Amino acid sequence: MNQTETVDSNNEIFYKFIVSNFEALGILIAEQKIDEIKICKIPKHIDIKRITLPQELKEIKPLNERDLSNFKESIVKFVSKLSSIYPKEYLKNLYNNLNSLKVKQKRIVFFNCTGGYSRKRNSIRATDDSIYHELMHMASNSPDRKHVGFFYSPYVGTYMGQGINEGYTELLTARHFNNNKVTCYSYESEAASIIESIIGSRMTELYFSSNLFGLIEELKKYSNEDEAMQFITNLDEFRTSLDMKQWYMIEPLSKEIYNYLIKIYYVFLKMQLDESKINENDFFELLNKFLDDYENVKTFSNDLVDKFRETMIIHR
Amino acid sequence: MKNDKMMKIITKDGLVKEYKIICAFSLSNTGKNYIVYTDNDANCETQIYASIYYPDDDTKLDEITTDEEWEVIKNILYKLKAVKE
Repeated sequence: MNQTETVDSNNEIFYKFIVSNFEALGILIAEQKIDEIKICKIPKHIDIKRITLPQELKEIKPLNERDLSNFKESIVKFVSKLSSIYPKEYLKNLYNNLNSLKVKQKRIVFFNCTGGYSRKRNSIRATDDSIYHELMHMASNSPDRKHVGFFYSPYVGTYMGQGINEGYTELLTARHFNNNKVTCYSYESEAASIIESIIGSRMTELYFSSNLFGLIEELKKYSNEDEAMQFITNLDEFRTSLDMKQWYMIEPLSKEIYNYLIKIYYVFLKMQLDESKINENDFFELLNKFLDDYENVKTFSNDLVDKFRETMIIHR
Repeated sequence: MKNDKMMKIITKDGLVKEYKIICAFSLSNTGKNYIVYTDNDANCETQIYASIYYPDDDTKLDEITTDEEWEVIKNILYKLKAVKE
């Protein structure tokens, strides 16, 4: 069910919370305490002195009354789309955060920074182009405010997973709101896309439940823990090096990142082959396609690609 | 983890009643806030209630008076019921 819904041409319902809390009704139905819905007005014989409501019901104004700049339509579209695609279990953070979200229009863009999301304040500053990317961050921000998607920051100034988080955020944004066109973090998006091709829809589940360590567990199926952690860290360092214009770092980092990605893709295919999920022909075709399809695989891991191709020719 | 949202009502004679909130929303054309809740008391017959509440006034719940408002609330509950089933 969507956060906002049109009843008729003049009337809209603005849900304050419903999805994360509809267990209450579900339990009644499951326990067969109600089979037909009869609603009473106010409990009888109640002379009210004071009512205590959950804080979010007291503080939150409906969506249309909040300062959401020009983004109300985008927010409604975002919630509707995600609700129609993903199971409600994936969207708990979205519905929790939506109640207190603050959004402001970003009018001046410095250094190509078109938007930002503050996980602690649950607030967005965005342009029309960046709003969906920032809303993705909001939808994956956990209640402890330490995990956002695959980003994890236990203390101020200490973090991990920024690269993979930005990459996957942009990949999902492009997929659902921009006709698959990635507009930023293209390098990280490609890396995220390769991982998704290996671990499948579990990646989305882990992203929306803000579970970086779950992702590392998945990667450990195809590499050891140190390699998986190093990959995540390398991807973080890649972005930092770009931002700080440390060009000499880019190539060695990229090589390490892509050597890792090629290696785990190879292991993934090999496991599929060993489990007879694919045959030998599929194995070589998929590996070949992988080596051809991804731009950065060719750019940064030429030696490894050549080695794989040689192996493939020998085997065939 | 269970995360029930509760509403607590203290009556003028000092009784405390707790209700489990099913959903809360506002309607754009009335500008009012609505709350649907249940006592879910194992010993009594379960009732579902719907009222108008005021975020900035913790002393009153008002009755819903118009058919249009009732219609919206019923539709929401039937939809939830359908989703759950």
